[in-house]
Amino acid sequence: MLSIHEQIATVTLTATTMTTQLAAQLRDVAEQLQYAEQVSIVIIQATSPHFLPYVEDDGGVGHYAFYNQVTMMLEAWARLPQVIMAVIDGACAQIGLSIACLADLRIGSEATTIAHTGLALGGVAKRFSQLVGKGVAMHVFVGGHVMDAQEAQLRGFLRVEASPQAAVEQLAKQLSAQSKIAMQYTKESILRGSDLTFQQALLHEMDLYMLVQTSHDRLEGVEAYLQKRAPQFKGE
Amino acid sequence: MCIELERHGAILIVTLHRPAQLNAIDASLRDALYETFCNVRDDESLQVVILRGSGKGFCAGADLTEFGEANTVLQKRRIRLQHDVWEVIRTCNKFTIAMLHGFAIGSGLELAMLCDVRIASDDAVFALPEAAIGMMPAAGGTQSLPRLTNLAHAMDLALTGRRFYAEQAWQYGIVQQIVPRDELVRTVMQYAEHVLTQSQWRTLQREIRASTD
Repeated sequence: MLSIHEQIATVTLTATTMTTQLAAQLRDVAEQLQYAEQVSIVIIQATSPHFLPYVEDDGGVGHYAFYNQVTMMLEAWARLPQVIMAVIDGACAQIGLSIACLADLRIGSEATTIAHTGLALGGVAKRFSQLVGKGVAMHVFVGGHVMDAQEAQLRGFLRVEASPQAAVEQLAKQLSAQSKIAMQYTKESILRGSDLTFQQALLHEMDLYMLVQTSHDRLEGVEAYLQKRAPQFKGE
Repeated sequence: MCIELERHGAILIVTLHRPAQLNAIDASLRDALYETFCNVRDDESLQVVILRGSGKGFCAGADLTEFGEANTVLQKRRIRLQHDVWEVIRTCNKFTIAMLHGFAIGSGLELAMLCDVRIASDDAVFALPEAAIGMMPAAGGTQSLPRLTNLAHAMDLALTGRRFYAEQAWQYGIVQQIVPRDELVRTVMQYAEHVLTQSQWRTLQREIRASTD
């Protein structure tokens, strides 16, 4: 399920149905990645065109275990500091949509559809609303609207590519040449700031910026720019 | 002088004037902006402030040539808290308009995003390329960008640092109007004069600003 090559970790889903066992595996993967210092980019993709649109939850005796495991898995993914990219090349719904909303960048094709069907776990409605706007989120989550690829791209939710796999690999390579610290702190500032008042968020941004200023990456980045050469970031 | 001021009644045009450096923000320009906006805040005869750049573009971002000459991080933090230019502009009690042409890159774009509206010429180019040089947007960009557009566009633009253009900036909600380059000054002045005719602009500005707070 997890492979790591240099700075890029790839998580490949081979199922289209979220089960308690799969949720546990994905949680383990997220906890491993939490401490994988060398990793700056995490790609999550599926072997099927569809992105986890089904769940195995009949509401019976296993319901609580399923619910708990999925929620804990989503919490673990939400805590990842790395840039997360999701490849969504087909139907994305249910827990698939929850995971897609935890990604920072989503790449798909003309075949991609975004829908809410059934379970909404891990704060997905709030995150989706922050990602695309309140009205659109209401339309999808309450009104049952199925968003096609073009609309998803217009809203910024999806980048539509002829070959999503190739596009995500190219983008991951490009981003991994940037400063890992700078990307992680930018991500943290945007995400945490969205739950703060503007003024509190600006103070948070400033403190993160001051931390970045103490990094080797910042020194190297500015020196490389002034010397007109490519920077060699160490993530330190 | 790295800032030029031009007054038209209740409208003040503030021009960033380091054209040879594409108006890159160094300590002197930052301090001049702080002083200007403090004065603007206290001038009750002013109602609208237009911020623009001289020469080829609006502002190419931070002047990296002065990095390393400055203070320690602790000193920088204290200076920022004592003379927070970005906060003075964001909370300015006048209606602020960014007039954008050419490059609005890095803290140049962030500066523009602190204004109430942005009007751009069709040749305007935008980007937040900080991560590629080991930095992060820190002139309020990580907060103003998602509040102007949405979280999805903000993540994309801030993490990839990709360039985007006037038409895209309008689609994302970052720019409110695009005009041909030779019509930019006239359009922005008309916009400013229209604001002056709105008797309730202060109340409306306060409510709209509070809605994203």
